[in-house]
Amino acid sequence: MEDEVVIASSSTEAGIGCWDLRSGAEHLRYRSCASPSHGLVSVAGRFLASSQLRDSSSSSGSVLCWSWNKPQIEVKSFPAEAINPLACNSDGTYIVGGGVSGDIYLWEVATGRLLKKWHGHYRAVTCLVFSDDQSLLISGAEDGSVRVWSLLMIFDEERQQRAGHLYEYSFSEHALPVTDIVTGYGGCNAIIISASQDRTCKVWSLARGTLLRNIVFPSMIDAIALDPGEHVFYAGGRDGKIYIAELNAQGTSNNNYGLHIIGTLSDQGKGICSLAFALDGSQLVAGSEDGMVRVWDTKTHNIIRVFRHAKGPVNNVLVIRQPPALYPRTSANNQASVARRHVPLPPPLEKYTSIDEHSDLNAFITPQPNCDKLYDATYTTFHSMNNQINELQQHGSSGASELEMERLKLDCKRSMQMVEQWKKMYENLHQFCVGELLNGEADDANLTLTS
Amino acid sequence: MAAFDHVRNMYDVALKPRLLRSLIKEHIPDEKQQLRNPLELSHVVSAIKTHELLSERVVPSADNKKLIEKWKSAVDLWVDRLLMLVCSNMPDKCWAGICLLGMTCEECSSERFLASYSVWFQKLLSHLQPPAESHFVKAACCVSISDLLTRLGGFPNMKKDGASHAAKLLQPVLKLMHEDSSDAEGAVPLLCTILNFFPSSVQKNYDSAEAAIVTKLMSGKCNANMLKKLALCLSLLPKSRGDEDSWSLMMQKILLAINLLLNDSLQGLEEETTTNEAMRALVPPGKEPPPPLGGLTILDISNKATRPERLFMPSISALMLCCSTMLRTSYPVQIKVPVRSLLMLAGRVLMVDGSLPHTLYPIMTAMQQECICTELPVQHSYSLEILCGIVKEARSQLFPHAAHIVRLVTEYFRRCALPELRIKVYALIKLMLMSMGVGITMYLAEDVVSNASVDLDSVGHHGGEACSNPVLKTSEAVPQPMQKKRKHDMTITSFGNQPQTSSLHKNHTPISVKIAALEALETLLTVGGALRSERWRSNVDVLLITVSTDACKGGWTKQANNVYTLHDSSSSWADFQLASLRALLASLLSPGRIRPPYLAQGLELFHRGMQETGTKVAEFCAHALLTLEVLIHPRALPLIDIASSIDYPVNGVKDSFMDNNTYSGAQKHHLYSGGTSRNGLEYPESEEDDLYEKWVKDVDGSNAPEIQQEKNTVEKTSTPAEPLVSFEGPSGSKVPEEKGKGILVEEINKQSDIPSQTADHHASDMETEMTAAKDASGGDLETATGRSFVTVVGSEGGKEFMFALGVDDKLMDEIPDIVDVEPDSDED
Repeated sequence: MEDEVVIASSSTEAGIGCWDLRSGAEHLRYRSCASPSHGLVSVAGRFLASSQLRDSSSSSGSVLCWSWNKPQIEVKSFPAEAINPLACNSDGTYIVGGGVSGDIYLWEVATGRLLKKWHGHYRAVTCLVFSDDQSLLISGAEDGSVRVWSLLMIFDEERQQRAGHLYEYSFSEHALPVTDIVTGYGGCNAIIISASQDRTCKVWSLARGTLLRNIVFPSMIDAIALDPGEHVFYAGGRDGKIYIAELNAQGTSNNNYGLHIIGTLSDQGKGICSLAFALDGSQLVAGSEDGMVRVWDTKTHNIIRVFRHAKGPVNNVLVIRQPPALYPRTSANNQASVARRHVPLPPPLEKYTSIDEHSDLNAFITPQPNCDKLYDATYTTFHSMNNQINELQQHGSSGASELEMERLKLDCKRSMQMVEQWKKMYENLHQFCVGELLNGEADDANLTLTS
Repeated sequence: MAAFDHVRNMYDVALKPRLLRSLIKEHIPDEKQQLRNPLELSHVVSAIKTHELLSERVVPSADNKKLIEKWKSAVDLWVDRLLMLVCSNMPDKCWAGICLLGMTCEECSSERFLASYSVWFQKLLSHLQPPAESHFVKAACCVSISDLLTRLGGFPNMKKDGASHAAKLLQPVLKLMHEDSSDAEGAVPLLCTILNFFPSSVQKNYDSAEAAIVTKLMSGKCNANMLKKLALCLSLLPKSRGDEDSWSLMMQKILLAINLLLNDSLQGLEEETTTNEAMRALVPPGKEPPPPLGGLTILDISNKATRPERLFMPSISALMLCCSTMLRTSYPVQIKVPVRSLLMLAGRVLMVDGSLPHTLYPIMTAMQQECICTELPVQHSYSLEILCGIVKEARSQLFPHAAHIVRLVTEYFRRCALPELRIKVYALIKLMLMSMGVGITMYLAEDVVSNASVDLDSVGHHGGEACSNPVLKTSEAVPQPMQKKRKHDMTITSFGNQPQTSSLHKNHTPISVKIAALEALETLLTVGGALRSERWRSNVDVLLITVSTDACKGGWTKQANNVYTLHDSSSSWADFQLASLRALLASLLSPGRIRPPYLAQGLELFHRGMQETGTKVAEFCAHALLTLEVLIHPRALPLIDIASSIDYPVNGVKDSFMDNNTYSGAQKHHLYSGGTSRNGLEYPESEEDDLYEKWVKDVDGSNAPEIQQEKNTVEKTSTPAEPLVSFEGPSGSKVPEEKGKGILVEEINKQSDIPSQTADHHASDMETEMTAAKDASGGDLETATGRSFVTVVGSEGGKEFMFALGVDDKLMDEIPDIVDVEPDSDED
């Protein structure tokens, strides 16, 4: 199983905590970070980015970036206004930020360029989420609206003019500011759950753009987490309870909490500010107002682990796969060697857009991490040899006949030599015989003469 | 004694050295012997491969020592014999030795390889430098060295050694590439291997390698296979420098060369502005143009004096192939893809169809036009491949350009008429749908559906059947009076925007295009079957059930025994059946606004298909039934309640009717298809939203637990209804009843909202239909009629109720369609 890390930040200046989920060991603490709710993202596991709470005096906002292996801030950007929520698509190509004025900003990570900025809501944006196939963006705001944007549409001015509005859906059923949004699996059939200060969570259908279910809670809900199997979702209330609300059953109202709420996880702690699921789908990580991060086992309803983060409320928790850079360098495994290759962080995010119609938008293709190992060692001798043998069998090709000719030439040469040899031998024999004959005759003559 | 020294069995290690020795003795010639039949060699090689005779893999232990020695000496003998053959002056023996040595590089143990590879390398190299006489020897030598380097590349600590060896090869290899094509055929893959495993060795000869490859590419003397290899080689070349810029530079050079050539060859076929724009995008004003590709200056490339004009187009194609190959190859560094220039190139080429502008005086001869038109399909195909490459690699980074690509593709799709290119367009669309997710379905759906409908149109003709496709265009006169109905129905559902393509593709769309169309539909349904799909969804559902029913009507084709058709990649009818079933499954599974209307027919098809054990169709059908089971028996109550509104009853009846009575039903069912699909479109929303409101209100706790109750009962009664309906076997009593109802409902529909110009037509035809049906069904019709009317009244009540709830006026318009639901839900 892959190691996972829990990352948490707080609205007070307590840095970003980072713990191993399984062992509980704390990794680096990244310094000087005071983030708003939903302001902390891991950009495709490559680095951490967080928007910052700023005193109202400064006009621009700030977004800070940390690389995994250094506690200090590495890149600082100053967008045109204070940014609340940040979101990043799974490829890590875009960072989206929601401003306090209701504007939504979309930056390209590789170049830091501000690709688009549009007016999304009437009041400050509070949360931003990408749909599971990364083609839609869902935003919630203080004015209580939840809007669904298609990234394609955002970039397509021609179509925008025809449609008259940018968003795909705008849900305005919430009466008070939206506090959290989650979305599930299923592409266009996914559901969206939004929580609001009006003490309700609402379940929306992405495909139909309709409200499917409205659940009233006893307390304000600040954070929600969707069970990966999507049979329930967890809603963290300001009263310190994590309510479990079911999604796939008929509601029964014969319990203490209300329709569709089937139970709670509670340890008499303070209000829940953030929730996240571990990859195994059973451990639920909750950040609390008292500065603690608790890990619940949703099967047994017990707390398995507690991390102490800060004095102030923990308003962001993330659970991600352990980035290679966090593996200890001593270990000789492959991941460590990848980590040693230092990847520089991308440039800061632009304040104003520098894109005009002539600027060349390039796509950046990052190499596969183990690119060297990807070549299949394909051996071809066997194949090519069989091909050549086939050719030889057919005697058809020029190559084959040429080869044959070479061989024949040499054969011929050898035969010529042989012939020469035979000739010579014949010659010798002939001479010998003649000699014999002549000598013999002479002898005979001698004999006759002597006899 | 040796004669009875048996081994234990065929796995016994002791067998291996003995087998090797006897192979050497019998088949490998020594100095004096001749190489007998070369076929023997292939037996030797396969024996060595199966028994791993050269692996020398023995578990080391005390009693194995002797065996290890024995095996070692046998392999020693093998290698010695091969080296002797390699040095032989008889070309055939030399060839055999080279081949076997190459195979040895792959098969022998790592220790032996590392100990002796440099000796082997020298021996092999001696045949390339100076080059041997025989082509066979040279080709075999290249392949064997390539295998040697491949093996060497597998040892991470040998990189440096390997690179120094590979560097020695470059000169001879480049020299071979300059020679005639049969030599280059061996040299190019070898160069690829070098670039893959030891890229740094090419660094010094970068420019000469580039020049050699480009000259060969542009010579116009290579076959398609060779072109691909050369393109791969060129795309691997930037690896040798190993930095980001060399890739970009190479891409820029290629793009520039292509555009220069295009400027010349498309002169008179495109607007002047296009040309200027393309050039400006590549070399922005004020910037230095890159050095020419492969050292060929612009004059070299487009010099009409030195290069015959007919070579232009193939050169462009070859260079475009390089572009798409460069996109597909993976590099160890981050690369910067100039998306805009590539899109511009693809767009530039795709928009040329060889037609001359009308206004201008023609500046091109018919011969020139002919020559361009011959090559254009190839270039279109490569343009599409470039687009595929961009979509695949850039993925989410493509959003800023997506709208541009979509416009390009849909525009091209409308014009594209060649089967091969249509297949490519479908593949590209499939890729876009998959990689860009839900957002893009809203852009592409309509085009995919209309094009696929046209392409799948002629399916029925395969079996000699009349076409039963609802989206058929009936532009020509239809002899039977019955079919006039169909014409009307078609005009409602058809996509009127492209009468030309429809007539082009009429009735003889190749199967492979149909398969591609089905695949695109499948992907569309998978990715975005539910989002904003009201306008096309019911059409697609009808289309797919019709196509797959037709495809599977004539039974299942056996998988052809493909000994003879090994190289034939054309698609068979079996593939078509499979594709249609896959698309059908997607149509059943993708949640729509209503329960899948053709679930019963679909299940029946999958059941039949599953019985064809051992075929791909059967495998898939089993999978389909497994997935559909969840749909039939949901594990949990769904959040979205679609069960309470069953739609398409008429269609359901129609199709089961058709299945049962194909002899007479085929024409009749045309009556309903168009109208019903439109009903399915509009109706469900009204009731659906009503239910939501009710439910939401209920949940809010504002009122009425009874409404909840009512909803539940509706749900309970209707949920099992659909899957349980059996359509198998022509049942005597049921079918007429259904028929009667179908007609009745249809008539009510027609009265309510059929456009007036065709209404008269229908009324008369409808009457004849009615009487015919009455005759057939007799008394049953009466009961059916009664029931339907009751339900109509019921829906009126519903309307009032909705008013009470304060439903939008908009919804009210659609209420009349509500009658559709009742007959079917009543039935059980």
